[in-house]
Amino acid sequence: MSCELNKDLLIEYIDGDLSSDEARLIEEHLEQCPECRAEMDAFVGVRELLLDDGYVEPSPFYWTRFNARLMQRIRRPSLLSWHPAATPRLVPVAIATVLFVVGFTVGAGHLLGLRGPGGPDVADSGQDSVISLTSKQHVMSGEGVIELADYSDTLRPSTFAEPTEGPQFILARSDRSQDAMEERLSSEGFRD
Amino acid sequence: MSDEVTRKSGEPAENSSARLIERLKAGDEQAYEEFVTEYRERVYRVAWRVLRDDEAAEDCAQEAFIKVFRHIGRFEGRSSLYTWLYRITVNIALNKLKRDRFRQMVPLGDLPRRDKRASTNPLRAALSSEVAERIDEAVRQLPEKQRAVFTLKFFEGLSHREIADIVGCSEGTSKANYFHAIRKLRVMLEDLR
Repeated sequence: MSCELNKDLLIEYIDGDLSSDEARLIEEHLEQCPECRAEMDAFVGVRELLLDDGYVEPSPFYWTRFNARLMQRIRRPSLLSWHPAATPRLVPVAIATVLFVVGFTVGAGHLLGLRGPGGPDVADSGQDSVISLTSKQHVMSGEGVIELADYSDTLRPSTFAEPTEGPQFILARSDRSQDAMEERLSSEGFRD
Repeated sequence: MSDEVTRKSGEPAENSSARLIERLKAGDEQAYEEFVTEYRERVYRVAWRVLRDDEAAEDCAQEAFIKVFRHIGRFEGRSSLYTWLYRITVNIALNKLKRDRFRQMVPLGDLPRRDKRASTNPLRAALSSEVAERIDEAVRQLPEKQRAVFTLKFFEGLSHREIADIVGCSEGTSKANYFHAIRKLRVMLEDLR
């Protein structure tokens, strides 16, 4: 190969990505360089081949079903709850859930004998024990991300093993800050 | 390229696009269906050309639209809506390719190919030819990112600036990936010309 022209310019020429001045220079070069003309023919040939790469546009019926399936998935309550317009409605629901779970847990503590004969009143003791928040539900709000406890599997046995300590319920800001969530969304391409 | 969804005569595309985004953010289902109808072919086409599989392309396209629905509240208009949608689509497709490759632990080009005889699309099955098979095989040999760049440039006609924005690289890297892809395909398909 003797011609030192950057062959990528030929690809750009074929794609129409060169300015009119650059294109004119390439055309002048092609007139006097058989090597580049052969390269050019090769690129044009492969381009024509690639245009038939096996892709077939689906039928209109396919698209009707596509929309129907998609809208069906979007209308699912679990997905609707993700929509930003729906988020504010979740906050009172989440608070009510937490209050219910707190009440349920305190009641369960009494029923399971945390208030033993002569023992301290757990609910009134004012002391803390910890309910580990192993499973968390993220709730998006205008103020950031709040993690709410899912108490279904979180009562730590030690709560019962140490009846002298009363339960403490945690409604905490997320360990993952809003910034971390932003960063994750960006890295996954959801940031525009 | 500009968003052309629900453009009315005489109305600037930007206004139309901005209003569409507002409607999407407000959870307007009608707006969402319009948006899907406008972009579904493009999204599916890109997904198919990166994944080279009907079912995987449909899954990818549906997932992309669902992610737009979930995250539209965070769209700030720094790029156009279609660029954002393309980026989500390409990310999903590339992640799927990586997952599949990791699961099977085989070289990229040896991933199982769609059995065209079993294709649910009779037209596609009919078009199955040796040339199409060879092209399919050659495109599968391209590394994931190169395949995405090649698809966006060659088939979708996007500029390298737009591709860089979608794929998350520089304009120069987009060009380099594209040129590499074309040169490789040229060598692999040399005998077919």
